[in-house]
Amino acid sequence: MTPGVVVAILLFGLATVALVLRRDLVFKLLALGMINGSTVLLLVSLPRAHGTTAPIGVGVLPTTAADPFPQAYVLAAIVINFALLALALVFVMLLVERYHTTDARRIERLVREEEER
Amino acid sequence: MMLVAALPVLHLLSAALCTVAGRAVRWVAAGTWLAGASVVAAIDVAVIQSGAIRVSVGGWAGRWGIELVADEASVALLSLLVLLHGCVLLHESAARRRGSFYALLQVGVAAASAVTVSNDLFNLFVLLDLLTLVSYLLVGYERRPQQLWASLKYLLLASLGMGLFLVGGAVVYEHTGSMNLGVLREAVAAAPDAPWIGLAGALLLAGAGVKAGIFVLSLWLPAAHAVAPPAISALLSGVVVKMGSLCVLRLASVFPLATALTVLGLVTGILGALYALFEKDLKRMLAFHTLSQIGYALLAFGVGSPAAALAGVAYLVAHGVFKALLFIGAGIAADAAGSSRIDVLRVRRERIPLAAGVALLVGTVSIVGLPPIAGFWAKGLITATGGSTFLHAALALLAVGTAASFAKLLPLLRLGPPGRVAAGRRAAVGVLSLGAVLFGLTLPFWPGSESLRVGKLLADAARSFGLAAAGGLSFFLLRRRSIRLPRGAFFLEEAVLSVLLAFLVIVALLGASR
Repeated sequence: MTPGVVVAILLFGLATVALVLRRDLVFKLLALGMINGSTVLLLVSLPRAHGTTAPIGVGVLPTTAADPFPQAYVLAAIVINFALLALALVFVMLLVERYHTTDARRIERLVREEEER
Repeated sequence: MMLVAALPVLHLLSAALCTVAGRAVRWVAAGTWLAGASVVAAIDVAVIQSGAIRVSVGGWAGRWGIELVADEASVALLSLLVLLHGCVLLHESAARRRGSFYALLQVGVAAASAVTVSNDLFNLFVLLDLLTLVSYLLVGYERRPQQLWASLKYLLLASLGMGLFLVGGAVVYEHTGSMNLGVLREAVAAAPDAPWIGLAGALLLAGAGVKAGIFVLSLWLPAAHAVAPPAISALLSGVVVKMGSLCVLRLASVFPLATALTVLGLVTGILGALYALFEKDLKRMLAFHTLSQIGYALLAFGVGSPAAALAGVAYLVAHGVFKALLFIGAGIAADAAGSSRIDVLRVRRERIPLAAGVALLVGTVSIVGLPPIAGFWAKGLITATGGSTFLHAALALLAVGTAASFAKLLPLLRLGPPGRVAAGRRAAVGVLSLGAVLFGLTLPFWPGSESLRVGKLLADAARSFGLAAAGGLSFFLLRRRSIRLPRGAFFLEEAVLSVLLAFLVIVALLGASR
């Protein structure tokens, strides 16, 4: 376990707690961003990915170079997470326009009332 | 065989073309469908004749590269994808959708077709995320507040699930140095008792399960599938959820998930059928049944033999066809009657057009498992491929629950007047009904279905009628009771907690089965 792995696991846990406990949708999205960030941190700080030299060029030793695979993985993950977060924010904006609140419980109740009418 | 890699590329190019095609967009979509269908047909023939196809994209083999594998499960789901894609295009041909709708559809088909052939965890992660990204947009496409809220809940829960999945991927990478499923399979076989295997398996299963329609994990599903436009519901229940289930199957081929899948399958099946039984809205009831029918497939995956896994895949395909049919029929009926509430539909049943009647009739017969339509054979295939007495009892219980909850549709199953239904929608109903019947009639002759013997079929038929009758009877006994099952679990916060709880249960189950 590197320090990065420990921080990543703590961050994932904290963010999940925030996702449940914060009723404000904007905070929920921030929590989601934290979850995504923690997975990125986890991938690049795996013990196997250890190494500080860039894994490109001539004469780079495999023992000191960073593992290129996790770098490639997090690049893809960051892009996807950005798209998801941006889309989620659009949904929140449209919901706020309609219900004038960012409180998840209230929106849930208002949507249900409209459905039953 | 670069055909396997060509399929997603074709649909992505077509998506780009759709955004600039203007009024010709429907022709672009139709042309793409035709090209895609021919490619899938070629892949089908190649796989049936000479077994699984392996392609290394970019020429890097094994653990370094991206490997695509098309096996029997892939071609089964690819064929389902082509059929449903075509039916959605037919269904929406009258709706004058904009280019962006078709573009989204093509991106979704590209992602789904790539999921079916993916053979590494990171590709599955990216493609499942892309597929659901398109789903969120399609669920919220009409921007009704219910749709937006259902879609946002779907997004938040699925993202949490994908977070768990990626952490599982990181554990796998740390211990094997690759996310390739083949490499992973060898590593697990070499050291089946290593403690990381249980952790990785639980993280990956919980993550994929959020998208696979497993009851305690996919609590976003009833709302999203119920409020989406009918054709999109058909696509979500027919294809998108199935891709998650396929991912679960891929995981089950690597990790020792048998016990966990049996437990999850049973819970999913029973709770799904129970909620469907007391549901008053037709589309929401169908959504709950997507959950309960995924339970069947999970029970089959839990048996652990390749034949049972293929039987589960056959059931996924059969369910994809008839659930799409039911959703499209429900959409037409709700349009004509002005509501999708079952009591309103019953009062106004004179108005339900012929196309909706046919769709609901064929779909109901199929999902209840009466011969000779798809559901009967696929369910028979699961029981024929072995499993314990416990499994057979569980499957029988699920069949009774299914029949009981569909018994309340009986007054709607009538062949009414033709009504005013767009030609494209009629065509979609016709194609899917024909598909359900043909799939049922030809399944016994497919490779791998030798366990379906004629002598056993009579017993199977008798049993399925018996189970349907038992279901009908239990509905009759329960019909006066109006039980309100707890709805709180479908709130966002409770659903997140449910995912975490289910993850812990899966960890415990994997620990116990070791």
